[in-house]
Amino acid sequence: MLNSYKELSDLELARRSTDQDEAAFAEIVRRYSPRVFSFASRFFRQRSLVEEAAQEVFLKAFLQLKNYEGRGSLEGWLTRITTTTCLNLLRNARNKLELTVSDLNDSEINWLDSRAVFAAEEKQSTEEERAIAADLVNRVLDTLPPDDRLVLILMETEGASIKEVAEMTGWSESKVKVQAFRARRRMRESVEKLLNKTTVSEKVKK
Amino acid sequence: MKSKHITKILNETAFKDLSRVEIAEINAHADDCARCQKAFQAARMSSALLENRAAEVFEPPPFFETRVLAALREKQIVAKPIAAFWRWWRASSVVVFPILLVVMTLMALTIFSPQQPLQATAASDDFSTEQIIFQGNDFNQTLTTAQALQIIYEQNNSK
Repeated sequence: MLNSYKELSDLELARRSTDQDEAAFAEIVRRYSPRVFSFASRFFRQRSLVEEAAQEVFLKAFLQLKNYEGRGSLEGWLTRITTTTCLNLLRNARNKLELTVSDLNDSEINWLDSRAVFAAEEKQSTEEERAIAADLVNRVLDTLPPDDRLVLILMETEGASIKEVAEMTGWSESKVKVQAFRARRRMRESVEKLLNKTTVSEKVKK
Repeated sequence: MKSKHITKILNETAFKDLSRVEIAEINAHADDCARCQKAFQAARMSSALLENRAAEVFEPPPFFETRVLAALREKQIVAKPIAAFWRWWRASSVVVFPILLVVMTLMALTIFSPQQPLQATAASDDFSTEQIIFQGNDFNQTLTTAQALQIIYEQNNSK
């Protein structure tokens, strides 16, 4: 029975789900949950938040499946729902006003220092360094407005173009451009402040 | 170009998408401008941080679809109880309907089957005490002991 669902097309699964066929909808969840999780992981660093977002996405998708006409891919349609769901969750969460050097732990300061020293080279990161950087970037992103975070995540980590971001968010292309401009500036300024402070703290140590 | 700060380029273009020409322009300017040098360094760092962020991905837990379906049912029950009932009925009617049919038949048989009147058991024995006591009397009528003895006495006398 389950195998027969695996062979069905996305459109057929969507139609059956609209007719309250739970097994068909379960197949949609199985098929696309890795993609939704991967996408939602860009927005949240806690697993519980990613799971909450993914569950919300599929609940919304089930209620809106009657509007899916099969013109675009179901994956694209679900990605759009994931984008708006994550943006809403980000908007509901409180932003941290500023990340200061006192908020950073030793390994994060070391990471920034090592990157500053090896700035001119393409330094290969170890697993540990990657984990530190991932945590640090989340903390920097937490200080940015939700719309800035969304646009940075979509364009810088997902590699989406301005047109694709506009489609995913429902914004105009000019709004995406302006938002990206501001988001890059704010992110850069936030990192710049940290770099200045870590450099100062290093000088004080010496 | 040297007089023009390069922050605009950094804001307009993702660091990884900067062309060689743009990077050359930025470097040329940054050599003489400490402010832009810091901005360039921060942009490079931001890009490296975001790149690391992209590598971190969570996988869905096992049986995630079961959890979604359970949440969906819960939501539907709260939002539309009647619709939820009909959905449940459609899913389980094959099992529930025969059981309901049997239960209802048994109930009907219990309620509507003809009951044996009490006189019928006593009717075969003209001399039984019940026959004597209840003959010609309403079942609902209660008799005192004296009345019952009087009836028995009269019955015996008449025989």
